[in-house]
Amino acid sequence: MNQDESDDEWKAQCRRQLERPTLDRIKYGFAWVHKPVLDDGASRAFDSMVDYRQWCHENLPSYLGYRLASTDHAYE
Amino acid sequence: MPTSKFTPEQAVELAAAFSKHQVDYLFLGKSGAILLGYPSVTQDVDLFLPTNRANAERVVTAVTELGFVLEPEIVRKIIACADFVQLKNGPFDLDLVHAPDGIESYDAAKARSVLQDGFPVTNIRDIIASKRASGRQKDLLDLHLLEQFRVEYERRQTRPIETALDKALERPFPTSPS
Repeated sequence: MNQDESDDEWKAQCRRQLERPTLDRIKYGFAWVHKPVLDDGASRAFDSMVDYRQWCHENLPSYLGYRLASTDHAYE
Repeated sequence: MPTSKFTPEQAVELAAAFSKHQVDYLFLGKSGAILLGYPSVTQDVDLFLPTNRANAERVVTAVTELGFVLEPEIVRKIIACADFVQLKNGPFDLDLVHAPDGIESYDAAKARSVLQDGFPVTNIRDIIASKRASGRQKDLLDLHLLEQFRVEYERRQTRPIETALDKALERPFPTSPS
């Protein structure tokens, strides 16, 4: 499947989902999967989004995707 | 720590509790996009809140009523409108966001928001702008799919241009004088 075919399939999937009632979107749109570190602590608060992003970057496993995408944005 | 997903029943309860306590809020992030019809899956619910102490106090009341157990320090942070508060001690994962990346102000986002079957949701363009500005790997991966969803979503929202004939047909049919 090339990119155009993939995009067309995704758009068709979007159109089908738009036909579904909002509560069905919620029913099938939320799932709980344990995320190491993120789900292991109690509630937490950050005074600034910069603090939050930095905490994610420094503490969460990279495979969770919470780290910054490029070194231009990295806090290192 | 919640171990169950956010359910439609909980969504209705959340909307009812926030309405009862007159909380000003918008669904944000992927959870907001899902409500709008984005075919994806997420774990947590993100709510965008104005930086308003009175509103934050009402949030504390509402989420406590929903079953969240808030430590005193977390209550203090919510009322102080900390930029990001992640609630883990409740029936589902809930993130309270006072200053999302990429959106200039709550008031501006509210003016562009939509009411999706009773759920106030940030405009899809603001959701995308926020994800783009975050710079996170997982958000950037979503951008292409979100943009394509936006096109389909906005196409559906756009009403066809009314013609003179459409308008004439909507008028009450003239009755004959008796």
